[in-house]
Amino acid sequence: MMINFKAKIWCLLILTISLASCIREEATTWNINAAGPIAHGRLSLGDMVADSLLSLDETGLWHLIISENLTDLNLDSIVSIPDTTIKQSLLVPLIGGPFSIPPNSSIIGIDEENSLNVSQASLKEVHVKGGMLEYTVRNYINGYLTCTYELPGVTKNGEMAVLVANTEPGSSSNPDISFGVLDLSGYEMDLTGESGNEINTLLSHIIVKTSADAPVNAEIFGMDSVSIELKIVDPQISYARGYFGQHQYSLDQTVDFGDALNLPQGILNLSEISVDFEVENFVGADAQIQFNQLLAVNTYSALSNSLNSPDLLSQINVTRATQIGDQIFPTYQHIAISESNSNVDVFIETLPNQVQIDADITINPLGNISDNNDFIYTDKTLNAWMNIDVPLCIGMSGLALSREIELTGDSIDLVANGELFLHLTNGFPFSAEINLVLRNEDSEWISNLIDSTTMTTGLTTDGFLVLPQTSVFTIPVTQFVIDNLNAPNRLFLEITFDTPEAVEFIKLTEDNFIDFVLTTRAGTQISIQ
Amino acid sequence: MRMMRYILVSFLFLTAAEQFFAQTNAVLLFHNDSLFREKHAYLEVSGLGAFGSDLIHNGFMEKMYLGGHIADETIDELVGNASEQNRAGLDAKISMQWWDLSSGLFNDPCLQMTVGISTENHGYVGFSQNMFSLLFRGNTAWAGEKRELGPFYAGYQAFQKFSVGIVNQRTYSQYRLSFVSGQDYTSIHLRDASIYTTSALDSIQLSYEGEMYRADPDKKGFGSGKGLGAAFDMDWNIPMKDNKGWFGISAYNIGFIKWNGQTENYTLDSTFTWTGFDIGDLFDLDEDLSLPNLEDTIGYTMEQKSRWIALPLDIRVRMLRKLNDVFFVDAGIAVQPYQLSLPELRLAFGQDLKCGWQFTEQVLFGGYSGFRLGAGVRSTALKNFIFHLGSENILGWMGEDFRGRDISLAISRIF
Repeated sequence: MMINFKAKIWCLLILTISLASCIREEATTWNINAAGPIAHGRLSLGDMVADSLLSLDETGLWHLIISENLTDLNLDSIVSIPDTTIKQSLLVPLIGGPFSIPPNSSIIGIDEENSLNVSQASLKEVHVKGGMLEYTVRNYINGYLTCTYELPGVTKNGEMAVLVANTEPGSSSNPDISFGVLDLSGYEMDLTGESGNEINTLLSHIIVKTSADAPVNAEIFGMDSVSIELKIVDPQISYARGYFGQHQYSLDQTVDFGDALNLPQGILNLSEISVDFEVENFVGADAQIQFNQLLAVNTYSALSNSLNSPDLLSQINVTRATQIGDQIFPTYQHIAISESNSNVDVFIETLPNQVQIDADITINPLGNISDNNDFIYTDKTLNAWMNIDVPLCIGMSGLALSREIELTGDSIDLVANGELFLHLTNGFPFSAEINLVLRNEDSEWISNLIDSTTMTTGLTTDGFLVLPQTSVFTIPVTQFVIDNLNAPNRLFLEITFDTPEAVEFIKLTEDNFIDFVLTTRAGTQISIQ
Repeated sequence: MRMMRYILVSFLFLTAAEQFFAQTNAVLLFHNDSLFREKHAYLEVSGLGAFGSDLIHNGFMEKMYLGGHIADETIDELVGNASEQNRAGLDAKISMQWWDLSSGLFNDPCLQMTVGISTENHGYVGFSQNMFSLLFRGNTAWAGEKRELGPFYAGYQAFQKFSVGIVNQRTYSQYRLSFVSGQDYTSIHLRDASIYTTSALDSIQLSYEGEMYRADPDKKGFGSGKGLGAAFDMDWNIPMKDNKGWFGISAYNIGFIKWNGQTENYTLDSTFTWTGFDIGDLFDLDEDLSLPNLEDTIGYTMEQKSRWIALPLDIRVRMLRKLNDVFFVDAGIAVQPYQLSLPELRLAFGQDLKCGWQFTEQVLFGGYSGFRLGAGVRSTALKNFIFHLGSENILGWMGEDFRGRDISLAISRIF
């Protein structure tokens, strides 16, 4: 029995030790020497500037084309119609009573001219693209009534707007109320009243009858009344004709290029820049534009330069558009600005990411010279455009293109020691200095991976690239570098371009690029948990 | 990346060894009458574990299984010793068998019913010297050269068997039918593979052609039932004249598993050129630029469908012959056609001491390893118990430089 017990104990002990000795306590690791590519890519002008802003000319030269709308005038406000309420209380033209009025008998009929509350303009005609006409009828008469509100000047597809409200019997203390809504979209309003010579005037015709299907006669007393309330709510004008008045606007606008351009920093010499200002007037009203200042602002370098162009900064008179039938004939003003009549080269060499515009605009500076026949289609009014054409024939000194890359900090358990090789093939006809810096989360310096190393210039003839040149940079990879690449740090890459002389102009073509290939030869530790 | 992972996992888990489905215990064959007279039942619980290789030694395998750093010198030595093609394998099994010695099937008092349950793991890997070198030394030395990596084989099956059968109490011949529950199955076969690293290191070209299968990846663990199958096992013992010994023929795992319809069938036939991440948009106008993540870029096609796979068959022939009352010889051959192991020859010399102890010393050649020495001890000294402890590669327990290690342990109780 004792032997059996001891044997069992020994067996249990051996089994426990055997199992315990087989427990995996650490990762399996070994070292390998790996070599191969890590990344590659091509940096071209398209990476600096949105493709939509680049255009090739017939010689293969890149042009930077920037077209920006400079005006943001809310011109439809000059013909806006505010919310308007028209109230009418209609009395029965009888004395005494009660009078028993049979069904379908006319009680009240009246024509009215209603003035719209338009203060800035004298409108003869408007087309409405939105808004509501709300009407409320209160019946104080003891009888079934049908109220018809006709608006002869308000038509849609040639048909007059007619509002019909049926009410049940009411009393002087407890009127019966009927409510309705008419969508004004697509309606045309004649605001010349009954005579056809008025302005801002809406003609209406009201008829109150006992209902044709009334079950009983109406019992009416003299001085009984019907109240009608008409509300024009949020009318949106698509077209207006009349005299729009004289208006002055101040334009203080900032045009931001930030999302479209990734302009480098540094000194840039450009040549043959041209800027066209174009004003396009679709409004049947005269305008006068006075540009006070156009300021190119580089918010990164805090540099700014005003455009000094006498042609642009003088008063610009814009004549009215004309209309024949439904066709509009706009008028144009064109001001060509070049280096010969302005400092546009200095203006652009600021490398602006913003242009600040200060201008005054006057509508109808000469008053009502159209005999109330100004017109406007509110979806197409007055536009001022700035078209910049920069042939990329440039000289550069210390022009830096930079990018800070946020590392994800997704920890890769990597132990390595070796080298990275950055192969840079320069297809630009100028040299470039490379800096690759490891920074921390707050963009503070940690280490230089590539420290101000110059890339060989692509060979050129007559300013055009002939042969790209490849340079290879070696980056030591230590565990310190790997640990920092594994942390949520930042990689700051800066490429600084220099033409041989800052004044020399070099042409950038579609053949210009920088190819980069990052390879490695490193010992690394493989780890299997 | 997925294929690379499997290759690495294969090295971790798939190493091979001799089969331990030892045929009928010599103690039973030589002590039949005395052991089972007037007994009612027999219960055997056994466990086997083994790995072996013609290249990978125990020190390397210990690091792979138990963790730790594999020294550069170890890897250099293995690469230097590697043949053009190399092999390794793993087997592990735990089983429990119950014999009802009083069932007397078919009106024959010697035919008894047996039931059992077992769980088995079998794996193997066949790899070239270049493949091993690539995985464990890297490709730096091959810059500017194309290296053939294939052929590459790896397979792994794990399953549980629930068996019922007949045992002949006179000869201990057994015939068992089993229901098989598939736990896991993975197989990779690359007929052709190569790697080319340019001298400028700016591209790595990986070509491969083959297929890979992986059983339902959504199910995991023991008894996951990724497939169902059936198996037949037999162990046929024929007594020699004059009670001089026995001839034995056995075949285990004659059967199959139908792995379920979620089995992934990969066709690998592609030339993949890695030139690094394309980060041409480094200076683009996206303010939230961050480094890209490496994604699965290995080219393959995959479909999910069921797959019939044969179980790892094991066939053995032996002769067990008494030399006198004490000494006996046990010689045989084992073949596992399913796996990469070579036919294994075995010659054992045994001593039956009649006091309840039996020892064997054996010489083996083949399998996944080469030449090996084995030893075993069996005891019936404790009343109604039979113990067995043995190893077919006894030297494997004595040093890290030996290629393979195994152990088998069985405890039987007679009721």
